Amino acid sequence: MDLGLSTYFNSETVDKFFRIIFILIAGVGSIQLISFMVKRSLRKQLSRQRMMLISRTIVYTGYIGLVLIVIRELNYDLTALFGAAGVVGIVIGVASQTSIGNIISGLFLVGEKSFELGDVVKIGDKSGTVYSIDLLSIKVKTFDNLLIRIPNQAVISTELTNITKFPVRRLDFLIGVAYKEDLRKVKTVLENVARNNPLCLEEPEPVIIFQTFGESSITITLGVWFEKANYLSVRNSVFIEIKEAFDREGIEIPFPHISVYAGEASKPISVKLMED
Amino acid sequence: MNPQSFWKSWHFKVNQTCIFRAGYAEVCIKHIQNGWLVRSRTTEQSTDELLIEEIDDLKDDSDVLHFHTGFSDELIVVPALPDKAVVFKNNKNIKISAGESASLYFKIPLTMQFYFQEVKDENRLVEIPLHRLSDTWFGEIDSGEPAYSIGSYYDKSFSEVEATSWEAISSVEIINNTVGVLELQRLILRVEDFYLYLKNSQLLTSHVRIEFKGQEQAGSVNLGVWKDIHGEKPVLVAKPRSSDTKNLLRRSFFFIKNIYQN
Repeated sequence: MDLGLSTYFNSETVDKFFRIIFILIAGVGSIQLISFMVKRSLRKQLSRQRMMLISRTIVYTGYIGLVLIVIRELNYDLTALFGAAGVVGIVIGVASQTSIGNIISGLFLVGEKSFELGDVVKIGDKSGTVYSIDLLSIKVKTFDNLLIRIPNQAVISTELTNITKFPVRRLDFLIGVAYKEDLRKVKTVLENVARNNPLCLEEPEPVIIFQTFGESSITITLGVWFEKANYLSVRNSVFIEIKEAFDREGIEIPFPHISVYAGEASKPISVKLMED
Repeated sequence: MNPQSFWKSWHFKVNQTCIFRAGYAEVCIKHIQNGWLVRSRTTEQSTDELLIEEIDDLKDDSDVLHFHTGFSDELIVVPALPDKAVVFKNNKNIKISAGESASLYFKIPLTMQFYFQEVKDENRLVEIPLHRLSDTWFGEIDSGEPAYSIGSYYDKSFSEVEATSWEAISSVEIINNTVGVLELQRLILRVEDFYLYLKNSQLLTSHVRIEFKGQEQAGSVNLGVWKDIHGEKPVLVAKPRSSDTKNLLRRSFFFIKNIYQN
């Protein structure tokens, strides 16, 4: 029974098959090699983010070219394909508005350079390290090792805080002290805490601001500058040192309380226990 | 103790233990079979002198480091300058007229380094600052560099300097090569590029000659020796941490802007 296999499995098609396999192997190998060589030569000059973009551009362009070469090798008419591409483009564009929006937003994000790979960012209520910046989204790795995928359109339309953009930061401590305390003494104690902590930068100088006369205490802000890598050490050490210094100097940090008086400020309310 | 008797090579017997004290640092080292036990800590009180004391034993606590280094019984103790630049903060309104120069002298606390067998990075057992300087920032908050602060103290002549045995004296000559007055506010000394010399039991850094060419220009910095201070043949004690050239073109001065105002 003649199944007509000779139409498909003859020397010409076998030859074409092996040629395509060779083109694919050589093509994939060349693309990876070019990408590797470019990354290696530009590693010291460019940031990780730029390297990733260049590498992906080379790879995507290379694979698209490889697909076109294989299609050409299979003797498909590319002009018809390009002709249909216009119509297909409209259909795809309508169907994938969100995806295209994300791609366009991604290009704007990259061009804006408001953050890079490795930066710690806060978007809405989520914060973490920028893990990758992709065509459609960015991936953020949280501090408890979760991976969050945020579409580029959401990133570009939301307020984003880059916590590690600059090499130094200021950390503000909100401290409440009792109304009876000598504020000049409190200021001196806080200045000494900042001065004696070697991780708190001498310059820019620490700042002390008397914020408000609160309901239960006077609120003071102590702002200390530090190198961004020392965040946790500074936060914990200054916190402990403030408490120790206040304990040593007898400065009270009051808990929320309400004082009740019956119209005359200095007389306490007399309390009698009535028994039946 | 004489610096030459402290900063040198020591040979330890097995199980021999010694404490090295200088400044606010204390390092206890015990030579064990094929290695060393090391415990380092900072102290509340400083010692002006360089002290070594042999003790009975070193208790192997959680803060003791173990080094397995082979047969070598040689311990080399060397001084070094801090691992970051240091910044002088002027609060005395120092002004240098156009074309004039000024000489300032600073005391820079050293660090103490311990090596086994040979002085090279791979053989370093421990390094500890003899006085932990406070961190500071030199330059703008978005583009400056990290440094240590040596405060506001300086001397106007070499003879006035009263340095301890664990401090090095740094002589700096600043030349104002502009047509205006140079008001010295912040001066950075990149000590990682300095050599360390010993003369008459006093440690000295390279002599620094800074030429100020204007706020927007990087000045030139030359490092060398000055016969008046270093003598004819100063004894080289330590090389720079970095291997930059002696003639450096970079920023040495920073002029403060109030960061809470525009």
